[in-house]
Amino acid sequence: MRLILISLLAMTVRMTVPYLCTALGELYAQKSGVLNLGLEGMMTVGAFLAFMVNYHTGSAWLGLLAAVGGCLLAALLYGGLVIWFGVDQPITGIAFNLLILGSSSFFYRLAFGVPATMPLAERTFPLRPIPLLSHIPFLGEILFQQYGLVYLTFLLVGCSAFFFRRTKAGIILIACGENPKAAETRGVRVNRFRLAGVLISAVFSAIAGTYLSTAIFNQYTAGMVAGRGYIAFALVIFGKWNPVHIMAGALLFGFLEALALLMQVTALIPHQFLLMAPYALTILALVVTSFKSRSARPACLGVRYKSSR
Amino acid sequence: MKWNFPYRFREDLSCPLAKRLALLGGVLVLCFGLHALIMLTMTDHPLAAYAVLFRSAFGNRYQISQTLLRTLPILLIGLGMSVCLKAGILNLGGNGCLLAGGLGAVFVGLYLTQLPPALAILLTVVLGMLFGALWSGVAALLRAKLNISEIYVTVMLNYVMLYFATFMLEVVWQDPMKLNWTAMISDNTKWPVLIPGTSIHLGFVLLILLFGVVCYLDRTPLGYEIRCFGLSPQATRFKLKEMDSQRLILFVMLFAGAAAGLAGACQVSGSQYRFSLQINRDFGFTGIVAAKLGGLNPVGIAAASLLLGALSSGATAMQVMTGVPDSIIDVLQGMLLVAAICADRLAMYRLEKTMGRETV
Repeated sequence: MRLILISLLAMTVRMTVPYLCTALGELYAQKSGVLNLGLEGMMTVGAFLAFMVNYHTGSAWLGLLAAVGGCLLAALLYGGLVIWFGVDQPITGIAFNLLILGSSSFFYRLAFGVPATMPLAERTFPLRPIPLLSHIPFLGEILFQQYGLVYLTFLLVGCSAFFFRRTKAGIILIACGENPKAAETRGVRVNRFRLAGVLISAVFSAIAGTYLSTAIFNQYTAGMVAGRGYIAFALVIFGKWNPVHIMAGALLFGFLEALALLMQVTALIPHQFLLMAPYALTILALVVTSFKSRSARPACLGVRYKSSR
Repeated sequence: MKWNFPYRFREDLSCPLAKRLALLGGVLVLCFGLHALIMLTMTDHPLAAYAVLFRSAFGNRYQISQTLLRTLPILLIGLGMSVCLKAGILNLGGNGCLLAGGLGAVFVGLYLTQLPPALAILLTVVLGMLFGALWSGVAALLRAKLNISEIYVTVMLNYVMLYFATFMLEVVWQDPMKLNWTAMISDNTKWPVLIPGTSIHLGFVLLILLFGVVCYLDRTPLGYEIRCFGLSPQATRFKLKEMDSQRLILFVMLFAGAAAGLAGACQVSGSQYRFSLQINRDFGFTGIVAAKLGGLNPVGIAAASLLLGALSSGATAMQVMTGVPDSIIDVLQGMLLVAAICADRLAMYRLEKTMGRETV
């Protein structure tokens, strides 16, 4: 029993990372005023490139690098279209998702054909137990025997909170999303900061995608991201644009997913309903959020800003 | 920016049809060109691959009917989505509503086997549209009453319906002999084939009806208000006479849901005679691509859907004959959507001659 609880909680922490990392990245983009709905696509790019490079070179870290590079390229294109060219943000994000999903499965088919068994990469990220802390009886096994990327992500929560409240760059970023005109009168290049926000969200999504395909699944399948990008997007809203609240929400979703995975073995509830649960919960979360005040929403979210310089 | 160049781009919100068509045509050529470049990685003759693609989409009678079969759900969903997009509502729930409609149709087909054919067929149509509309209605209510953006709600509902349909397939309606499909629906609920020798079934009549409805809707006061709402929800909020804005949102989303449900019923009762997850080849998103590519105009959407349907049905033959995998069509589809969006945006710019030195 204790073992089941430990493995459930440990898996919760592991499953939280994709949601949390992507949502944190999207936080940077949204605070700067850009609705980056292409998260699903960027996670897919990250997952795909990471797996391909890992498979061919045997290095998971090179895969991470490749994933970040690919996502940055995609985000540059998306940012250019959305920020400077001014296309409608949500539908461009969806279009990018479609394009990237199609391209990924195409290039995967190009590389592997239709294999009988799923190709697995040989080396994945190593588990890194923290020396002293991992020996704590209960918490140690849950919290401190994880992958390096897990620690990084939770560290990033604190870093993001610090960034937005105490650093000059963070406050400028918030200003770009709240009142870009005022920011510009102070000499801020609003659109460049917005692009930076989008690029940061791409990097985080790349990390999340890499983690998904390398650490959790160690393979790449077509529908792998399974809507996590959209859930992360909703998490930003549910977390009221606050990194710590987003972490709480992400933990909830990680818990659900871990529960679903464990329940598949026991078959108490039909597992399809458990698989449904994260998505249904997202809708519930959005409903609950709509009753609270929306004052944390960046005022100029999704509105194109035309620089008058 | 200081420009000494005597021309500049200026935003101009009037988009004459000719300019939009020209831009769309240019963008299409660009897309196909880029796509051909991608195909160069796999084959030496991308143009020949295109030729194979289109010839096997329209070659003989059977192939044309296959193309039309692929076009049907795309066009149905595209028409429904165009009404939503005109209202400025991005309803991504096509996949979920299609599956819901399919579930409704297969329910009639599996259980109500004793009814006279006319009644049974009517029931499949009604239930298909009803289930699709209801599923879309959840998102519509959340948007209308609570102002929750329909974008994520519909995407989430897609996944919920996907897993629910998986549950119904694997637990309730599984056909032991054909894996992942339900049993075949009873004969009285199969839709009649209109042109013998092809697979053109009743669904095409319903498609023409829907086409007429959408064209007519555009010319009614309600259609006008939908368009106004799409251009500016704030401005129209108090001026609507036909419906208040909440009911308008409900209407367009239920309409799109019903159209998608109808597409699902077509797939089940008209074409496959069974239900499975494979009746939906991501038609929800393809419908949106068709709607955008067709410029939200019914005739344009019909042309775009035909193009997408041809691409889809010719791709398999292309794969067999030239070795280019058929998933390259997904890439093309994504490119077409991005291109259509950019073309729409480009249409809002106008090249204007300035007087020379401008320091704006």
